[in-house]
Amino acid sequence: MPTVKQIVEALLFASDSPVGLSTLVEVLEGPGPEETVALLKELERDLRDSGRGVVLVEIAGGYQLLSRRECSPWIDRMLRSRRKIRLSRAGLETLAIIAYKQPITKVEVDSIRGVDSGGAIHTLLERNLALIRGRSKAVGRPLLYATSPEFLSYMGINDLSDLPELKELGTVMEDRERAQEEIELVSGAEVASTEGAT
Amino acid sequence: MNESRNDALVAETAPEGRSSIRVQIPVFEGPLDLLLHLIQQDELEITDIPIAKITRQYLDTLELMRELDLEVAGEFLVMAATLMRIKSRMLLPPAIAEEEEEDPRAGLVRQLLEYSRFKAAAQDLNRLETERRLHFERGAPAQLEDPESRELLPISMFRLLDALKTVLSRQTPPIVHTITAEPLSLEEAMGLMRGRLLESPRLLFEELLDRFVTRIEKITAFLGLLELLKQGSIAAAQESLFGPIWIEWRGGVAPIPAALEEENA
Repeated sequence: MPTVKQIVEALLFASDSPVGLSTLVEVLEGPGPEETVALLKELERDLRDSGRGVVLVEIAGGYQLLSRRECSPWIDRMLRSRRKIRLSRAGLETLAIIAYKQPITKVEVDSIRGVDSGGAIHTLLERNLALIRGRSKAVGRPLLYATSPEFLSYMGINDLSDLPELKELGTVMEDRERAQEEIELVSGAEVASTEGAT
Repeated sequence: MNESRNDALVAETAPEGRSSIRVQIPVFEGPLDLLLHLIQQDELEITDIPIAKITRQYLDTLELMRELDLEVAGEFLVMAATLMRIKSRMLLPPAIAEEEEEDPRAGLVRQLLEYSRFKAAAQDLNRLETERRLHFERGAPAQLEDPESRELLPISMFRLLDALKTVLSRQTPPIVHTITAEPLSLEEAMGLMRGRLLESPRLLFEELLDRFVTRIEKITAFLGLLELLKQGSIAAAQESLFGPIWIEWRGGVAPIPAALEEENA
C-alpha cells in the first residue's frame, strides 16, 4: 500500500493544472482538509529539503508541482520556441486595469489608457486570462470584464489579494509639496476618470 | 533640456540617445503614454507640466509619425487638440478665464496620474509573469528545434525608433558616382530583408539596415521592418535594456506581397 503522502504526490504529478484542496480530500477518501493540508506542507518541505527538481506551490487556489526556477534555462533549451509568447505592453496594461478594477467595461479601460483597447481585450479573452463577467446596468448594457482563474495561474499567485498593491496617486510624486497639492487636486478623480477621456 | 535645443530638433537626431523626439505606434500604446514619456524624458513634474513645451514636443512627434507614414490613431489627434486648448487657456489672464478656478491642466494631470498607476501595475504584472515563466508545469510538449534561439526581451517602439535615428544620423558614405537609382519600394525592402534573414536568422538591427544606403531607403526599410513585425515574420528583441537590438526571423506563414510573388514566378 502506498502512503497517503505518496498518493498526494502522484495526484499532483498526474495533473497539469493546480488541484484544489477539495478535490484532493474527495479523492483521498480519508484524511480531512486539515490533515491533507498538513500532508501537502510535509510534501512541500520534503521536495525542498531533498533538493528536487520540482517544487510544490500553492497557486490559483490549488496545489501544483512545478519545475524548480533554477532549472528554467534547461527546460527552455528543450522546449525552444514552443513557449507561449509574453504579453505585450498593451496586453499587460489592459490586464492590469481589468485586474484591479474588475468588473470593468471596455469604455472604462479605454478611458484610463487613453486609447482603444479592443484588440488587447480580445487577446486576453483568447488567451483565457480575462473573461466576460456579465453586463453592466449602464446605458447600452456593456459587457463587464474580469480576470479568469487562469490569470492567477499565469501570474503565479494564489488569489487576487496577492496582487501587488496598486500605488496610490500621491506616491507617484517625488516632490512632497507637489504631492500635497496633488491630493487636493485628485479628490473626486475616481468619478472623473471613469466617466471617459475628454 | 533648454528650449533652444528643442527648437533645433524637429525631425533630426540628438547625440547618444538623448533625442527629443520619440515615436509611439498607436497599435501598441497611446497618447497618454507618449505624454508620460515626454514628461519623464525631461524629468518634469506631472503636476506642473510646461504645457507649451510639451505641446510642441508632442506635435513634433506626431509630425515624425506622419513623415514615417505611420498610422496616427484618432486618439493622438484628440490629445493634440486637448493640449492646444489647455495651452490657449493658460495664456488667458485668470480673470478672463471662464468661471472655474481650476488649473486648465488639472483634468489632464488626473488622467496622466491615473494612467501612470496602471502603467506601474502593468510593470508589476510583468515581473510576476517573468517570475512565473521560470516555473514549468507538466504537459509541455518536448520538441527540439531551432537550436539558435535564446529568449530575448521584448522591445518597445521607442527603442526601435531610437535605433532608426542612430542609423540615420550616421555619416553617409562619400559620394563617388551619382546614379539615379530606381526608388526602392516597400515590398522590395521587405523582400531584401526577408532574404537576408533567411540566410542568417538573427541579425543586428544596424546590420540589417546598413545595406540600405540613402536616408529614404533606410526609412523605407524601417517601415518594411515594422510591416514584417506586424505580420509576425520577424521579432525584434534585445538581450538587455539598452543592449543591441536583434531582429530575428520567425518565418511562418507571412503572406508574400504580390509584387514579390510575380518576381519569384
